[in-house]
Amino acid sequence: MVYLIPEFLLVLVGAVGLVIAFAPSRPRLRAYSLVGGLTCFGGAVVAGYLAYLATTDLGAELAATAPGYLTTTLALDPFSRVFAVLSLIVCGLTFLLSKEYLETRMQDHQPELLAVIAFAAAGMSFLGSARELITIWFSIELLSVCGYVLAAFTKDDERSAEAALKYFILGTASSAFMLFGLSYVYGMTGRLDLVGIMEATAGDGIGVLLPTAAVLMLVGFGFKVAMVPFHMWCPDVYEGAPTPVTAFLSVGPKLAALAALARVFSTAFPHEVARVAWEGVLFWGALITMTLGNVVAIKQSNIKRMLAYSSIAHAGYMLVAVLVTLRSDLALSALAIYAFAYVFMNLGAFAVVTSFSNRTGSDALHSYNGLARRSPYLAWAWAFFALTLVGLPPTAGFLGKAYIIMAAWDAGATWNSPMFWLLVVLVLNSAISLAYYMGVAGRMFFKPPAHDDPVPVGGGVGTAIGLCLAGTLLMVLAAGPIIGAIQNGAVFALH
Amino acid sequence: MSPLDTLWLVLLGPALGALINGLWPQRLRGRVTHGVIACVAAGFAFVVAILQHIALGASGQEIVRASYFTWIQAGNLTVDFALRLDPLSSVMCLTVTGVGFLIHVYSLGYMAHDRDYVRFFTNMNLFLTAMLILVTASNLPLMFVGWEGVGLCSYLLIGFWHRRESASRAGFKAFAVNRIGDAGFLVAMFWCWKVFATLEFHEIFERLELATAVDVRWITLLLFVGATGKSAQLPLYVWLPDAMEGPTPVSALIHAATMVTAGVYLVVRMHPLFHHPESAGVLVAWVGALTAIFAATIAVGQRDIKRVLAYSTVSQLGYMFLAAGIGAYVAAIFHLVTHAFFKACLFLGSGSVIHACHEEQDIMNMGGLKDKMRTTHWTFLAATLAIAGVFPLAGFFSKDEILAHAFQANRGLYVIGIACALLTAFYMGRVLFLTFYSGRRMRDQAWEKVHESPPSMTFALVVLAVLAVFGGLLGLPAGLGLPHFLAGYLAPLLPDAHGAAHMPARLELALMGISLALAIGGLFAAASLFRVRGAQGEERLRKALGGVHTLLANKWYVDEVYAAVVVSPLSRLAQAVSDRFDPRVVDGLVNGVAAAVGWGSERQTRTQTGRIRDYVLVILTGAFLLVLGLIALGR
Amino acid sequence: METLVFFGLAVPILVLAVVVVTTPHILRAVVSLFLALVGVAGLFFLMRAPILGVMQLMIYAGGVVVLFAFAVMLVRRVTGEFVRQQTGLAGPALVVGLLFFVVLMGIGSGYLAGLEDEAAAAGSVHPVSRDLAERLVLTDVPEEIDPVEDFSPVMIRDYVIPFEIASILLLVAMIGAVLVGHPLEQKHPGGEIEPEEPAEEGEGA
Repeated sequence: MVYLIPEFLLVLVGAVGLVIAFAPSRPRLRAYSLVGGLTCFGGAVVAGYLAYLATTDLGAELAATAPGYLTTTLALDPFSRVFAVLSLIVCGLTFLLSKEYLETRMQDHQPELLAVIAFAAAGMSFLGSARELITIWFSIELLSVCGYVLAAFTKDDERSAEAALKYFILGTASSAFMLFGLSYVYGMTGRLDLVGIMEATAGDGIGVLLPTAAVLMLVGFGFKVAMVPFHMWCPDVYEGAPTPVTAFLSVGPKLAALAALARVFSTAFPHEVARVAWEGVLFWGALITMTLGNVVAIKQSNIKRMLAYSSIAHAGYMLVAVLVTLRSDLALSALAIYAFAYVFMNLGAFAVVTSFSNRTGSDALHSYNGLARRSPYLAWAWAFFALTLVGLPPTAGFLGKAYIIMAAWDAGATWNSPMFWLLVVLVLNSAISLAYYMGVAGRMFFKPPAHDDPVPVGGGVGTAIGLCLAGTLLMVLAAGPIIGAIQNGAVFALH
Repeated sequence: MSPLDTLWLVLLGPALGALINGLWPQRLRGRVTHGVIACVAAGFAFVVAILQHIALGASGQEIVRASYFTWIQAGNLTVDFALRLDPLSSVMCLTVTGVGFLIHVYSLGYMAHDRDYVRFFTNMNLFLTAMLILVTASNLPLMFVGWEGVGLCSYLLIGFWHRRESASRAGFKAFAVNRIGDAGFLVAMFWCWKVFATLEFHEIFERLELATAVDVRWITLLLFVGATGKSAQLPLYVWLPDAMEGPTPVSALIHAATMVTAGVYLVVRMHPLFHHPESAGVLVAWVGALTAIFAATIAVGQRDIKRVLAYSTVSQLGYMFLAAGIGAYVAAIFHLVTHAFFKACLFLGSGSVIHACHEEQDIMNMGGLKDKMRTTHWTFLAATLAIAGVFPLAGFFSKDEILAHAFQANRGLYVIGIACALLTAFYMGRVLFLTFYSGRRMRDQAWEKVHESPPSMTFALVVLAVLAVFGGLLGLPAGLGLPHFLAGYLAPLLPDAHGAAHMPARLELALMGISLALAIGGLFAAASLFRVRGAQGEERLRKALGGVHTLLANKWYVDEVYAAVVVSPLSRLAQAVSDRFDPRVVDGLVNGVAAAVGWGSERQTRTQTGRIRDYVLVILTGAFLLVLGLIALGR
Repeated sequence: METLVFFGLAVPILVLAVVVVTTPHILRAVVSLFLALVGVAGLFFLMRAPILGVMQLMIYAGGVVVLFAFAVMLVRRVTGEFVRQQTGLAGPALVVGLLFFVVLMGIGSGYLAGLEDEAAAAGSVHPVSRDLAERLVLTDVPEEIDPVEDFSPVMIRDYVIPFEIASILLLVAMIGAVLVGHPLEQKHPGGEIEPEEPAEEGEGA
């Protein structure tokens, strides 16, 4: 039961939001976003402790004696708690960075939005630890439905409405594929738990049906991760949704789906035929996803669209880590480390965008010209996040990429092997990403602004930016210990 | 407490300086204070470097290594934040901090009237910190941190006058081109980890036998790719000339004396790998030689004084790579040091001239400055003679050592080397005579205002000129039985330390004679063309060279070719891909949706719902193709 | 008899599904979808899985389709016009869909044929049915299944967590439906673009 504290906290925060929604008022909203955010950070600490605990003998003992309803459905391993930490951090940061947006840009329903975000974060956390198909399915659906609702929140904004509808229909369609795949798997093996599926498919004679099922499941996961060619919703939805929601969508569902992807495929399908299939799909998926995301991002004129494509590219990088889960012990820690870096840097970048659009109402790239003179804090924060997102050493983004490369290398990238070229593409891609990230920074610092009105930064979103800065910096300065901690949590056998 | 116990101390000064200047909430009273803080920081680092140098010599140790904390821990890989002091890094520290300090002092005067004075000094100190991390790092990742750090500072300082469009463009170009090289460095680093299971220099060198021929070839090649980016070698040299958009002290410090030599340092630092018979050393030598001659020809055709010096830097760096490629590591480092002296002096001199002529940079519009700017003239003259290789100035000895090694290694390299020496003397003579001699070509108004620079600037010029004159004493030709101090100092570390000693004295003298004759010949040719005639001499040169001159003046059209072959296809590709894959661009949905609300157009609504169908179809098709591919794979 | 009921349900489901994608009238599409999902629930009942049938009704027919309907109405209101479905891509979609169907059926029947061979080799009397049934329900099929008695302990003991997740899911869907259905503020008739007004209030406390 102790294991569920993170999820419990998230649901509690959400429930409180619904209660507040009965009698919303500005002070209550303010208190809610603040206390809710703080609760999440507190919960993150607890979850971190749980992750640590799971690596110890005491944790092993607790897991062995855990009640059946936990052990059937959830994996009680450190990896799951590491993603619980992430979910709580994402939720807390989103709470903070939404505050001014809710106050200035939305007429009503502000507490509900935060509540749904908390529910979504709970879904994210569940998805990261689910170890059998029903839980996986419901978690991913919870995350999806929250996403649809979130995208629709500023419903009087036609772009938001359209984004929501688009997300909804496409998400449902891709879920259908996934469910189809799940039903095949269950039909063939009669098992729901991932380990059981692995055992049931150990022999020969599985034929082409199992890989087919795996690939169909990949469609569903691919949609959540925004893997090409299932990425097309991403820019439209990111652009249309309210900016804090976009910030959340760009990290939450993506990371949870990646974690689940790593767990499901490495646990359930480690055997030859299916494995060749999903590794092949992920290889090309990662390659094309990162390249397409980066190349298309260059030519965007709207910063949210640009970040949408860049987040597609980041998903491509992380897919490399998922790809090598079966080949390298480093893969899961690489995924976790990149995920941490990605949360801070991407939410940081979105916090800058949120803060800017709160005041100016614009997401067009050209409106960022000369921001350094209008708001040095935002401009410098962006420059910092941009460098981190590019992966310039010694930033957190670099550490993340370095770990992914090391994992892939460890998995047997030798000269001229496909994996080697994948890594070359990865490195080249991070060079390409320089063009658009630094292009925006260049606008901020080197172009004259249209006018000199300052862009004040709100307290909530300012704090969120500060926390993201602190998080990224902390990962750099204390890289050794922190990464060691993450790694202790994430180097493990998944089952 | 010996200075060797506190290796980090050398980083402390510049790091603190950058912090104080960067974070001080209000501008201190009298902005000069900020400049002074930066200078003191650089000076402190210089003093520490000297103390460490002495202590290292006295201790008799070859390598002092200090690890401060574990930075990265991944599986079997541990990367410490560890510094290392050995003769090589000590020499680099001395050069970097010494020249750096002088240039900081010079900047006090040069930047006195700039509105972003504080930002300038913050960046300069930051640069020094990064550069010192680069040269004192004890493992590849930490070195890479410095490597990227100097790149970042270089970007910031090139784009320092960011209100100039060309400056921010040049900064971006430098950053982007360098990333290509960095990709090589990164891959090399991971390759090293794969092969040696460590990234510490000394451990790599201990485990050399683990590497196969293929490993060595590719690691050295990839490292060299990294070096070509940072040190502006073919084909990645294009950013350096544009980098002259930055303030002149920046050009002197970063783009002449220190950062651009990082590539040479990298090759020398990794010399156990490059020394392997299967390494890419031959390639390094040839790329260096070709860059040297290529850039020297371009320098002949340039009119902007800083651009001439920039191409000259590219060319001299080519020499260093030539030396490093054939295994003459000491010669490479020797030339690196002397080059830092005379090229910094030349850049600062040109800065002094530009300062005096009110931002005029075209040598065709100068002339006759000899009497107006005595100190600048004399120091510039000394540095020109040094770079041209006139006996007994610094450049003579270092260049001669490289040429002697080249002569033994490969005659082709030697011929390119001496041809390049001739061109060097010629184009430097051209700059010297067109700037300081050959009658004035300025308008009276401007001429009246020309003045010698303030003492803070001339001080640095004089010190550097003295170093340019006497720097050669560091490495007297061992072949003649003279002491080669630098070689002796580096001997424990670098294998070839006495390589040139094997040459017969007579041959050594003959080679020296040839070099000297070519240097004087080149200077003489320049003098006869430009000393009196000035601009008419340029006209003659153009006629004599014909079409070739157009080619040279336009830098062999390399920038244009790159633009046509690399940049514009990439840009077009991005556009095409985004047209195809970004639905928004296709029919301008942004406006579309907004418009749909405004006037509820049937067409726009159709595109909305139609789009979702498109996407569903894409998902369906994607899934279908995946399954099909699977079956194809299964068969 | 069972076969008859099966086709009695399956044919309408298919017809309704075709209507969903072909009718230009979007509300008609939603209603057809609703009916089709009810039909699928019927199939569950037919297969003696009443709990699943009820859940199908609750979650999909009840929750998701309602959300769907609200979403459609939302778009209609925001854009101030009645959304008509377009069927422009029917051709390619039909081709790809059919091909996909054929391939999946091929793979599936190939798998079943493999099982049958296996069973025949093992000398089983009932080639497919028994074996497949065993594979499908994990253990041998009991003669009588009491849906409530067998299902409820599993659901609220072993699978209580997904059960609770599903309840949160429905809650969120409800929030979404209420939110979307809630009348718009009168000051923004027809969903005008958010005016680019500066914030009325200073930054947070």
